[in-house]
Amino acid sequence: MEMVIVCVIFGVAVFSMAGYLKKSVAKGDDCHCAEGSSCHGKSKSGNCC
Amino acid sequence: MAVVRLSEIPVKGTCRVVKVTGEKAIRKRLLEMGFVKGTEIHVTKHAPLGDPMELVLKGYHVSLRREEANDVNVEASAFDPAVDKKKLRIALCGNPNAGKTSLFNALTGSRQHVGNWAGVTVEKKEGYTNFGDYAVEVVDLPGTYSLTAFSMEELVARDYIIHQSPDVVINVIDSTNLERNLYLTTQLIELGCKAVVALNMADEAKHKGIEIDRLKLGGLLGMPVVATVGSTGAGIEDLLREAVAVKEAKEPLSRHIHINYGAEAEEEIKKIQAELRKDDILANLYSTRWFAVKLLEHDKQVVDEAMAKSSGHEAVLRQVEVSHAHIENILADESEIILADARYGFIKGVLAETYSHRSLDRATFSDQIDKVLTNRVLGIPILVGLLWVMFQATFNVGAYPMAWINLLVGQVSGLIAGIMPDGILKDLIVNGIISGAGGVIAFLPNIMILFLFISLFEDTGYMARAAFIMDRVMHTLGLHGKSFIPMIMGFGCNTTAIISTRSLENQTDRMLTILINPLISCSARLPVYILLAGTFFGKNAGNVIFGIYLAGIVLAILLGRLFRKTLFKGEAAPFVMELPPYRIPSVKSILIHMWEKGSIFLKKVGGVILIAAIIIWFVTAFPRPVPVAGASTAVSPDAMSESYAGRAGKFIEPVLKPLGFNWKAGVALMTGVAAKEIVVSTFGVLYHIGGKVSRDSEVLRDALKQDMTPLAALSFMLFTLIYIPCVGALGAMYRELGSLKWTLFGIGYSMSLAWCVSFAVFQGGLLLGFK
Repeated sequence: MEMVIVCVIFGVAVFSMAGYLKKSVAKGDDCHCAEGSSCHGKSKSGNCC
Repeated sequence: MAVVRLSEIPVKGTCRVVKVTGEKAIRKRLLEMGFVKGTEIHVTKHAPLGDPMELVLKGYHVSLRREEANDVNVEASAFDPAVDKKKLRIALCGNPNAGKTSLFNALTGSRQHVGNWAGVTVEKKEGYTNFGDYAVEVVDLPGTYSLTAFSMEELVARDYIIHQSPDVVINVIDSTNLERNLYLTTQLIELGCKAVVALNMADEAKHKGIEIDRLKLGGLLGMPVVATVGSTGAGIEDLLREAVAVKEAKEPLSRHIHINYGAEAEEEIKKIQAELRKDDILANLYSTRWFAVKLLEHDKQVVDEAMAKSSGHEAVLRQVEVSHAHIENILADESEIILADARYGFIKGVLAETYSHRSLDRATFSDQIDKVLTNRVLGIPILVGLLWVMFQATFNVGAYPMAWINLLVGQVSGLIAGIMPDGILKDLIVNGIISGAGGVIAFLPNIMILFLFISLFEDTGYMARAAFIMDRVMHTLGLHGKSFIPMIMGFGCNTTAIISTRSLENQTDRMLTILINPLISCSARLPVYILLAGTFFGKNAGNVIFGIYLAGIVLAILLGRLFRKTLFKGEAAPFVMELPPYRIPSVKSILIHMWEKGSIFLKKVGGVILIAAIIIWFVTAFPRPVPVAGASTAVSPDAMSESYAGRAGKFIEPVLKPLGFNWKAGVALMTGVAAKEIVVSTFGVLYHIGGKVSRDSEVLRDALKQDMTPLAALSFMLFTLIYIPCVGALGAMYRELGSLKWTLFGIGYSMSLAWCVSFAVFQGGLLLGFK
């Protein structure tokens, strides 16, 4: 029984890590201009980058 | 197209009706005759004495007296004598008494005339001139100090620039009063219009001993700067040449820049922008950033326009109110004042880099403090002193609450260990989750103390001065001074430091700063140094730790130079380091900042670090040996060596052996990727300390002494300093670089460098007779 719980926790952890990485990838698009920068284009979300 | 009176249209000229004015009876009569908006009119001839004029409209001829023709406003599309030339429409915009009229006269000569703006009583002037292939129309806008909506002049000037879209705006500036005049320039920057700056009265400025680096000023403002003297006409040709170059997009200095309003205001601007983008009408009305800034400034005209043009404005206005409240709550000042301060901060930064011989009698309180804090001689020692205080407080003051938290975590661990029956689940919770994630929580006080200082530096305005002072040093790195801020933050946490590189404008600067940032030793690595330096170097432990930190800085400098010369060639784009006025930060603001950073850290601990800890425990605990009756379910050292992690450690051991590391050190380094603090916990587990890991643990130190030499420990600390950053920092790297390729490069170079440095230190030390 303990082994099942541990495996479930491990499975959830692995999927959560995958979700975290996926979320990080999605955030990569959210670029924007900082102060003083030129706007070279638009990201998918419409931000200047 | 210029709007003129019909009476001004020359023979053979064609125009379109814009508006019919005059007395009601005459207006009615003209409308009945077909003078309605959009009607095309062709002027066929004038009577011998010039009056009346004969026109063709709607297919019939009509004769109109000049007096009546004065009441018809038309678009002067084809009346210009230089009709075959290319058109250039210039708007002159500047403060009252900036010498605008004299410049207008110099530009247009005697061909000027005066007209009225439709609907407003503000006078405008317009005139014409020829320059090269261009027929130039010059429109003189009302003299204003800013483009907010506080006066009719400001509204007229703003509306003309936004709605009439002149090809180029010439911002006429009084060279002898640059600071005040540049405020209007910041607003033109915000509007994003194509502009040229005319530094007028350049002769007077020279006479007063004022020197302005025009090229640098142009680079910082993103628009060319020309010195002019309106009264003599000096610089007029250059001014027109620049205007043509800007219109034709051939001027390299011309670029769109953003003024940074500070972290809090920028965050709120983004939120308002997000709301504006949800509404198609509002999203396309203006630039969303300009729109958001105006809404934050309580610009009544913009608010009214939003309300009139879109039914979905409620959500936007709601967000604006929330943002107002948030800014006023955090910064204890109205958002208009915060934004104006930021603009003056921008101007002060510009002046600091381009303007000399500033008048002493105008020195403000801020200037007086700056005389000391940014002094050429005192600036760097003061900065070093303040950083020393920051680190001392972070490490020493933070040690007390850290010990309390460690004690608490230890007690929770002991309690759970006592309550739960032996088994794999207990092992996971005690040796995995509590050792992994619980150990990291102990660093919360250090993080909060560090951010207390960072908030103090930021809110008082000192952080901007620190960047200014370090500008020259960072240039030797091939980086702009503003890269210094993420470097300082790297001492706290590389993840937040990497995210903070968003303040850098140039993408290559940003990438370079991100890539070298992990070399700055973060606080998470400190427990490793304390454990090993304390174990192997006794009284010299403090010096060794200081040396490790110093090594990180030196390596960052060397790598920065190397990357700049090889991978990220080219000059950094000019930008302004704002010097905002000094402020006394509110306690509330500091506490909110500390809590925000602390809560982010806690979320990280409860999120990705917890997840990583579970996964790492799994790979160090499996495959498990067949349980023996009565034996502890905790993994024994022998079983650990056969676990997935142990096997991996042994697999990489040949690579690490030349550096003085055994397989256990290899496993600790691998698990340290999740969070550097886990290196210490991993040592404890691997040396079979039984989960009661303390960095002061004598037992652990004795065990380490059996397996490691001082030279190997030094090599290990250097490897820990340099090698692959933790998963949080890696995620931030990937997110901020936006490139898997560059993230992999960051991992690759740090691993290679760590190996080379550790190899050189260990093997070199052996050759020199050290152990």
